[in-house]
Amino acid sequence: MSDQAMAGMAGATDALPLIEAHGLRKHFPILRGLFRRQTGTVKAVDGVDFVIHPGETLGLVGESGCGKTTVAKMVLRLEVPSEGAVTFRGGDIAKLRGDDLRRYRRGVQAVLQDPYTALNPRLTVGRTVSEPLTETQKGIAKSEVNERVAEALTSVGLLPRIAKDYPHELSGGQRQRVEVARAIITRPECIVLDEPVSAADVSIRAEIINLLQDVQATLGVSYLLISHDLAVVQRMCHRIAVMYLGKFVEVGPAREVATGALHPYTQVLLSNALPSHPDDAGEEIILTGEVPSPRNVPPGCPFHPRCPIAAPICREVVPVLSAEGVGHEVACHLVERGGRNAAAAGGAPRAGAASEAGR
Amino acid sequence: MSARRVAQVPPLRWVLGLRSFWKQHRLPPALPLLIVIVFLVCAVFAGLIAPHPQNQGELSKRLLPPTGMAKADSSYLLGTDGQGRDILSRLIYGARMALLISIVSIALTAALGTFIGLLAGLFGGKLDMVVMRLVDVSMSIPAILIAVLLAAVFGASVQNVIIIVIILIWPAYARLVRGETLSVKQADYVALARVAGCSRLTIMRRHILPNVLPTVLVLMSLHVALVIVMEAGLSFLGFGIPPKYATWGSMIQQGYQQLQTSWWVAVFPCIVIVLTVISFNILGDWVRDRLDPKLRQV
Repeated sequence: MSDQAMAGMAGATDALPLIEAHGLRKHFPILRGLFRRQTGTVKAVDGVDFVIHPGETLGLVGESGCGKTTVAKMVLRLEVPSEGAVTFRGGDIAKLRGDDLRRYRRGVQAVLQDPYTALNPRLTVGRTVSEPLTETQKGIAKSEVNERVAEALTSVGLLPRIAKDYPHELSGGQRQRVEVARAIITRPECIVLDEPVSAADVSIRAEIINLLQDVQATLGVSYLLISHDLAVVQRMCHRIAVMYLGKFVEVGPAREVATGALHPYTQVLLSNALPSHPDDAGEEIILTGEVPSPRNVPPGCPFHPRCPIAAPICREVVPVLSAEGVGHEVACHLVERGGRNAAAAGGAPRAGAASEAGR
Repeated sequence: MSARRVAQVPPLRWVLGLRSFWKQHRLPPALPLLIVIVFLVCAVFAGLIAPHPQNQGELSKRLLPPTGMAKADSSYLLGTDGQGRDILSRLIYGARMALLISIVSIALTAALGTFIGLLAGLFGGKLDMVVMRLVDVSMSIPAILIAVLLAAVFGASVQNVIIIVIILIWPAYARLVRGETLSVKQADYVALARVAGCSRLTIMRRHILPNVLPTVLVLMSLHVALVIVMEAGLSFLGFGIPPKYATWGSMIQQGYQQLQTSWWVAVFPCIVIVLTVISFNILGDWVRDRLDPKLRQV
């Protein structure tokens, strides 16, 4: 990964950003009763900024319910942000109409989690794969469509004749490949991958990851990868953003986040990830309690009720992302400049965390 | 284990050949298909097939029993009714009315109800609320009351029966399709269709309708029975098809009083209704299965 990551990084820094999110918020009102009074708000996404450069993979990690998928939906224009905006090549996607909208649809495609509900059971593979093309380029010749379908299927390692089959005739891995073929047929610049392998068998997982990396190498496409699987994210991403309760708590280059995580939540996530070898297993930090409901976010740092090193300030002041290195940002009061947890400065941060977290 | 041999009659070769041909091509079930074809032929060519006119009877030949019984007249195969009219001929003409009423009204209702249900399910919000309250209202009013009211206002005629049927059963389609639409709408492929750039209309037509239609087809085949029975009820009250047309429902209504003395007047239309209804249901299932690519073997 490292060579590719470096190449991606180097290319990324000086190019114009492909996709940008500014102060992205999505609040869902909770309506009760006959007159639909608003009794509360679910803050699914609460102020998120990020940039995706051409050819780059940005990973979004977090527990379920932290707002990862809502971010993906807003990037795909499936949800309208309550505040803030997503821009594609500098233009606000919410304002796109007509040809501009079609250009954006061609440019940004998606692969979703469950290959069993991602394909319409009543359309042939060929129809499914060609849909983004025929919908965004009206009047395209049928022969060209067929050619492009065959090309897309071949490049994901499927035989072109599979185009005549129906989804139920395919295996899970084949379906996932069909999904990828559909996503690349318009030659997009960015693909949103929402948990692309979490529904797949372990044996297929590596296959799909390799496929996605091959596709990136040949097409130079950017990925927004959403996952709760740190191993996948570490392997595929150039940069990682860790999300907790609708906010980013740590953003940084993949290697730095994976080896030198600064935010206590990231440290917990990493300590709970399965190591590649049993002997590598470090001490596991077990978090107590549940993720607080996004309709009732705790004051101060949203992570403080579960944080193993929480200090009084964490209960009152909301931490903001601040730079701790080149492209590495952390939202934690206890991270001193130079990147150490102040509260655990005496000993190793992990040991301290583990003892306080308890059973 | 006793080795008792069961004598087996070797089936005819061509019968086996026909059966495997049928299975291979997944043709519709043979017997229901045959019954429906006979029903359709009778409905279309009633005037040519029927041996006697549907309405003119000879009172001297009233209540003749079907052929094979004592005192039967061989020119009246299924006997005659209380006014001396040929039952077979009336059954054949009745098929025409049943076809007209059920096919026309069910096709119109299904189209209307499906469209309304799709819109309500897809767009939700105020439209959905209004439509669903309307459905609740029309489902809570007793069917026969509406029918009597409408018939009293508009008079008894074939069109009015069709209109009554539409008003009575459209809510079933709207509600069914709305529910199915809500569940299909959640599927990832609908979200991906939007990402692909499909318009709402395209999503409705290409992604939701085909996944909702099989359920609608089954409901339609069930409604054939309902409509035939509903027509019988309306005819009984005098608000249905005008008496100058023979219908199966009215034949039963006229015959059931004489069930103990001349059973054939009511029993034959009953048999015909049962056969037709069952055949339509079986064929409805077959159409649904054929439309499902999962069950469509190569």
